[in-house]
Amino acid sequence: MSYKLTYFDFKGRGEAIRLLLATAGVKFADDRVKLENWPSIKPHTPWEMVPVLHVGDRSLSQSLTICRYIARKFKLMGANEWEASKCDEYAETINDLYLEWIKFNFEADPDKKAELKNAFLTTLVPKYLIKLNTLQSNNGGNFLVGNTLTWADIFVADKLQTFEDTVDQGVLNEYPHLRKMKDAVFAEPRIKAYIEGR
Amino acid sequence: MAQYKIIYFGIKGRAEAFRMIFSVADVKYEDVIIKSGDWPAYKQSTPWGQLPLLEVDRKQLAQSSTICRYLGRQFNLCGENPWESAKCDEYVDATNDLIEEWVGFTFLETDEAKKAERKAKFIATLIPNCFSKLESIKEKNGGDFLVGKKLTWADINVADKLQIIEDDVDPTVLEGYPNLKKFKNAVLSLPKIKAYVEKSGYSYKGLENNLGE
Repeated sequence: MSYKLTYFDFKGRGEAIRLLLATAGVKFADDRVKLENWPSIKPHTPWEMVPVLHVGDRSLSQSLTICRYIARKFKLMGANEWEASKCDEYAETINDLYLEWIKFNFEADPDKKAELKNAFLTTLVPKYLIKLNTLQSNNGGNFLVGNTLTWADIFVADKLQTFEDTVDQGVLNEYPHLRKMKDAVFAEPRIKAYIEGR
Repeated sequence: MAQYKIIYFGIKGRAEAFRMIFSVADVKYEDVIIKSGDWPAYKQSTPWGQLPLLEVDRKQLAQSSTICRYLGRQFNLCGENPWESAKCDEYVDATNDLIEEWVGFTFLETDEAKKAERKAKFIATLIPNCFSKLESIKEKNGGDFLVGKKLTWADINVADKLQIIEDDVDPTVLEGYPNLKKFKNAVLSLPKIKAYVEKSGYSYKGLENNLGE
């Protein structure tokens, strides 16, 4: 079965999928679209959006849908249906925060951007990460759900890394359990190997 | 049998699809209504400061798409194989963006000029972009449903969203999309869903302010 991921040539919504495919040990074609080529490729995508995962001759859109499909297929979504739903819940929650990050990151006006950055760090980050940090702590171990690595850990770790890289290196200072989870994810051998080979 | 509770406000909102799923599955649940006046205090006790919540044997699940999908799986309304399940997810996700924008300009936007602008763009651009693709998907699938040959949670979720937009934005919005119109009517006139809707009396609006947050 052939896998191809079509996405832009940056992390964005594609990176979590790449990390997940790497964790699953799945060879895939990493079809990176340059922004200048996007207008010609866009009409050929099902929803005029990327990422798109091509599985054989069929395609799947929507980044969380793609993550969940891979996770289910390669057993990275917990030990039972309840844990699978907890993966969904946490991924969708961090996705809400990521949508707020998008507003900040792509703001062109520097004054508005500074304002958004402040709101992101002082209001939005605590709103989501205090609870997520507590959940991780209560779960014990290195992971968010159950006893093993799930796609939720990978998805959340990827987004937290983005916030660290683009907003504030110290964004996880007050959320040590999330930092521990993120570090554990990026220390997973297959993820480490994928990043080093990128 | 598990004990189910839906915890939400007394409106259709983000819980209506769940209530319809329970009705189709013929499964009892407790419909716990939080009054808007009680919300500020109740909020503190919720996992993420938001509703709806699904309680299953006293464990709680949050995020409306997550809850819908969980119920879909529990009641065998999630397609016949992993690919069909993923297609359910895809269509729900693809229509979520549209609904989130509707929520944005309808309930969250305070600037009247901006509100009008967003609504205009919604009608002129966002709806056609989404509906045209969904129309073609529906047409290609044949039958009454979006995915495969049987009812899925995605049908209920998406039909509910189409109804919201028809009720609140433009009653003629589905005129250019005959397959979607037929699909929505087919889902909402399934006997158990119809019976639930006629009995429930909830509407899509009715909260004084932005309480979904």
